Amino acid sequence: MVGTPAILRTESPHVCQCHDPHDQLLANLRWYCQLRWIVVLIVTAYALTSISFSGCFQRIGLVAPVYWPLHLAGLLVLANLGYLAHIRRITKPEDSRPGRMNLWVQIVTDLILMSIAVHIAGSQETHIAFSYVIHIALACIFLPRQQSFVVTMIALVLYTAVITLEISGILPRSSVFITPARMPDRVHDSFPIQFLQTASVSVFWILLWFLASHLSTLTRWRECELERSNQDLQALQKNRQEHMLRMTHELKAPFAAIQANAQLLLGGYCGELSEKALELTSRTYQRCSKMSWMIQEMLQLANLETAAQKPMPAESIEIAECLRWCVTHVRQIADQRHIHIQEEIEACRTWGQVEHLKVLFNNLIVNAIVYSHENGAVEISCRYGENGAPVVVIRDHGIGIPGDKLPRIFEEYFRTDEAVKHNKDSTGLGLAIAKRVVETHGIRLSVESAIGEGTVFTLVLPAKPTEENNWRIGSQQS
Amino acid sequence: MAYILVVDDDTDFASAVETVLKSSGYEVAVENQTATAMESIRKRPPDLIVLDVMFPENSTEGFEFARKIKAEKAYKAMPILLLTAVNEKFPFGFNPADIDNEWLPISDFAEKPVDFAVLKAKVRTILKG
Repeated sequence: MVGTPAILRTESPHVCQCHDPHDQLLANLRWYCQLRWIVVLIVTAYALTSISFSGCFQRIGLVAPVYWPLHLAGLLVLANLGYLAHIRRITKPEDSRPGRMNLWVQIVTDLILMSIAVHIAGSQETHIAFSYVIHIALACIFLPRQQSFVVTMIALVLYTAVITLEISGILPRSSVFITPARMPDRVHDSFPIQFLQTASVSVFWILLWFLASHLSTLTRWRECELERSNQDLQALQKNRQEHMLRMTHELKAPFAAIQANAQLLLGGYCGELSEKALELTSRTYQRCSKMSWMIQEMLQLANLETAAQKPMPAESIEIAECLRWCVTHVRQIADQRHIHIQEEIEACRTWGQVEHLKVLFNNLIVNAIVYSHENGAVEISCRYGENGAPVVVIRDHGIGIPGDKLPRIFEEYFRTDEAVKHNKDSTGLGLAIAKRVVETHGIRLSVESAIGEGTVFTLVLPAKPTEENNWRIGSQQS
Repeated sequence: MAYILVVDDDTDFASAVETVLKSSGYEVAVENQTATAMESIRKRPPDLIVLDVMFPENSTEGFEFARKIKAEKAYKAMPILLLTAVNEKFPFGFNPADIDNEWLPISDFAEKPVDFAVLKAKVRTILKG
């Protein structure tokens, strides 16, 4: 954006220096040059077409062949090369004068060449004069209000000068038309008429400047506000993370100390305890473990919510490895309840975060085991579905979930009456955590269940990263 | 027998760890601050450091202390077992630089509350290696 921070601040008390002005200025300069290349192409194409198809041009009433567009294009090319060479030499970010000078030279030169084109094409015979509007609009977008007004005035002065010179006969009238066309309401070239015409164009351009510059100022202000809000949010997020980190420690550390001491007592490190003392210590240890696990799950949920706000690199994951890791992890619980785990796991790949997927699968498999009847079976399968996406199915034949409660099972701390009766120790967060992982990974999860017959969780995982699941492709992508 | 230095601001927990490791035949010293721990290391370099991550003055003091130790030539190869109440699988608030494997100059993690059987096994493994 052209202008020093001081100029920007005078526009509005709310305007702030949001972007690096030096980088923004150079970006604008290069963009102007790119736009000019497009104009060169258009103008050159017109000239070459008029030369190649001069007969056609003349038949439709256009002067041909014309060489002035080639001269104009040549001037634009030389000017553009000069601007770009100058831009490459601008290296000092603290001094914006060379950049601003480059921009103003571009603007004024373009307006002068534009005026020449307007004269040659026919200031009165064509509507080419409205192309000044593009310069005014661009000035409103890239310059502060005062400076864009100056550009508008320069355009007006140049256009008025062309008209005046043509009317006074100093400049011969010119046109792209063989027989110059007249606008229906123009009867003669009298000065009052020409003055009225020029004045009305001037009013239109000034109104345009007023509207466009105001909109542009509003947009810049909104952008600054958004950027400031974003920075505030990021600072808040960072503070929240630090607070959560500290809270994690403050919550878990005391339990760690209590459990450690309980282990010392239970392990006989402090001598033999009476049976009653052992029982009480054991209960203390178990209650501590449950509290620790609850804190763990609460923090996992908070972690996942934080992770969802800040996408992490996606990696290609072998699902079978995750599932087998989970099965090893839950083997002890399964053995305690004499639950047989049947695996039909094929090699399948998905994209995401491996630790999150392990938590997801682990929670579902643990649920399947815990809510199975003793000596029951849990089935875990993984294969590619018909559309090439990997499908994981986790099935148990346990207590099942009532149909009316099914929509609520992913709510935090929600447990059905049957689940509470079957297992008092659950925190009610396992499926809420699973849901979070599913949402952040773009996984389709469906559940079927019937009381007394068991529950089936079906997960359709993404075969590749997609925009919907908001993953960035990490460096591990093959 | 190996000499282990336990560095943890939680005196109860540090004392429990000291008891368990001593029962396994190790010689154990405890420091509750990283500053005094550094002096202790210089006086008598341990065979293993059992180090907490979070200290009252700094939530990532453990990481910084581990890097400080490893930065000194004499202690570059000193094994460190990091104890943390923060779930290692879900780094929360730590920078990637803290938990990136290339940066993390430790031998192993153990998550609090720590099972002493697991702790003893990890200590054994690290000292063997």
